[in-house]
Amino acid sequence: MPFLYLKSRLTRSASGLVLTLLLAVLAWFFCLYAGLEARKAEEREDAWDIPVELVITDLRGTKSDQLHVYGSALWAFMDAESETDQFFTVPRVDLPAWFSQIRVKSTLYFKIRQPGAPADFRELVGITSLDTVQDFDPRLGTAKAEFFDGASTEFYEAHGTALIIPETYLELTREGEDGRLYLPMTVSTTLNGSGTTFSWEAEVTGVYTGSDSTAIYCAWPLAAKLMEQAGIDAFADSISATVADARRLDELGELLKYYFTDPDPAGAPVENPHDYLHINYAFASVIHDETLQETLKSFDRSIATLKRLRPLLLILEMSVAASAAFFSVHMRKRELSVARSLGTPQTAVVLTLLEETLIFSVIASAVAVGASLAVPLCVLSPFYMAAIDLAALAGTAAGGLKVTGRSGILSLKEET
Amino acid sequence: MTLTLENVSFSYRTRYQTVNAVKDVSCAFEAGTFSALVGRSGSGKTTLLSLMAGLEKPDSGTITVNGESMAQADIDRLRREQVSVIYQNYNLFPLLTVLENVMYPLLLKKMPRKEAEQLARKTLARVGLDAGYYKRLPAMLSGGEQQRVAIARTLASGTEIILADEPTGNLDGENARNIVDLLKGLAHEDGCCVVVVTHDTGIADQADAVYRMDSGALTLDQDLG
Ligand SMILES: Nc1ncnc2c1ncn2[C@@H]1O[C@H](COP(=O)(O)OP(=O)(O)OP(=O)(O)O)[C@@H](O)[C@H]1O
Ligand SMILES: [Mg+2]
Repeated sequence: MPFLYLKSRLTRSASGLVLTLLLAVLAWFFCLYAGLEARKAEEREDAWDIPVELVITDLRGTKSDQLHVYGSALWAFMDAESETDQFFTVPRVDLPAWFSQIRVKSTLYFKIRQPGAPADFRELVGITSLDTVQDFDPRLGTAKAEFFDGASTEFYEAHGTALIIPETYLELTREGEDGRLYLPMTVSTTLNGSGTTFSWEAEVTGVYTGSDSTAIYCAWPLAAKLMEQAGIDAFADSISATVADARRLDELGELLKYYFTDPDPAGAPVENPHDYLHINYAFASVIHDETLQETLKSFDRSIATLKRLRPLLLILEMSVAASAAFFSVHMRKRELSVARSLGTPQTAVVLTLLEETLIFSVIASAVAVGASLAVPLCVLSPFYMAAIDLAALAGTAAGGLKVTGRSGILSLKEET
Repeated sequence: MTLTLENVSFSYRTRYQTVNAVKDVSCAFEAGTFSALVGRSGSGKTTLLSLMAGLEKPDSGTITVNGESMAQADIDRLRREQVSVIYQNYNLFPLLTVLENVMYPLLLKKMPRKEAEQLARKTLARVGLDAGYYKRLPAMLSGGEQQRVAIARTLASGTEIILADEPTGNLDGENARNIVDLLKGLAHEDGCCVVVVTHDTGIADQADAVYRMDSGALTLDQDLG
């Protein structure tokens, strides 16, 4: 077929432009879809950043007056050869590198009753420390830590008895002679009010809002003072930590079970350098990763759906491309029959049509690549783009063979 | 150049019925003659023309071009070099310019582009279309002009058998006369074998021979040659 036919199709044909655009849109849409899939996978990866908390609890205590953790579990995490607490030598837990990213948070509970406060104002005070566990010693009051509220150790040292309360407690405070706010309270070291009880008044150094929590937070130095006053050693009943690398949760679970959970008491004794922990304490270790798991599962679901729909989309797009190409040829039934009647061989006609579609596909692919690069979400999918182009070529071939198969008097007769 | 039909029959077969459109037709069309083919609508004129042009294959009988049987011949070559058709609705390539339409059959025969263009210009001049028309697309021409381009295309291709199916069917008297004169010229001056299907008695009157189709059968109506 003379080249000028192809040339006229490339330079003057509106339907050719439409077909090209359609192929481009199909290819681009697939890239967009692939991008969506990739984005979901990325978001799933990001989900691993959802904080997971692990809590190690002394089962004998359960927030009671019987708490005797003495920080032993805490010491076990510490990056020292071994630490001697008041009664025991605690063997050091050998932590893998990733484990060291654990941020330990320890909580001591005191019961505080505000004189004249309504019953539901009797709340627990959580004494909380976050970060650098190495430098942390509640009894010495030497915590080199960043606290939950972002204040530094120095801040608490400067204030000595710093206290942070919820805004709703402000009405319970009293203004001192120095013009500062103080919170008078009765502290008991047990939940049921038995045990040591003493009055205390501490300066309020901060107020938090936006939470319905009624916990009062105080610094470790203050906690140490409270403990001293109460004549107790330490009343940490749990250690909770936030795990940095949530991908190692299974490994972590194994490790926690090994160190902190009593192996089957009726079973054979297990060789464990940390028998000390098992013999003296019954721990429960819990990993709170429900949010993470839920999120991952929902991502998995949508990724699976997208994956399942992809071949369907491909088939759909391929059939659209094939039928568009087919009809683009079929629309030209008459002129192609004329070409045949002038003696253009069938193979020449079909080859020209294929050539034409190939050129359109190449242009469409280029446009799709450009459009995909312009839209950050898209992921180039050459294999699928080629499949769509192939479908267009197949549609062209089918159309070409159908139109030129018979000499087609029908298409050449009077107005068709 | 002669086109000979011997006992040619053709039927359209559809799932529901068979239409015997051409029945046992025998005749010969000589070079240099301008023949008319008349007959009622549906009598099979177009069908016969399609058979002669090699657009359809006869069910039985033989069609020969200059002694060469169409059944054996390379039909594409035959269409390129020996038989061409002019239609009522012109059938130009809509996306090719006037000049390109005329060049098409030449380029198809692998004539160099320059040469083809020259010949196309010459042929267009012969049908009365000057350079102002070259770059126009068929849609920008009147019916008469389009038909003249179609004739130029046929003329340029150099085929000696020219079959026209109601070439003036869509044209007014003035334009029709113009086209008939051109076709007549092709027969009488260029020595082509021209067969024109027509309803127009005016055209039939000018023909060297008039054939009549009646329900698929052909009879020689009148022979002036
Ligand atoms: N594609 C087809 N399938 C079936 N029958 C057909 C087909 N084309 C034509 N026919 C029938 O064949 C017969 C001859 O048709 P043809 O077109 O050759 O007539 P015609 O003489 O050219 O008529 P007109 O003067 O109206 O153009 C008619 O009866 C028509 O109905
Ligand atoms: Mg007809």
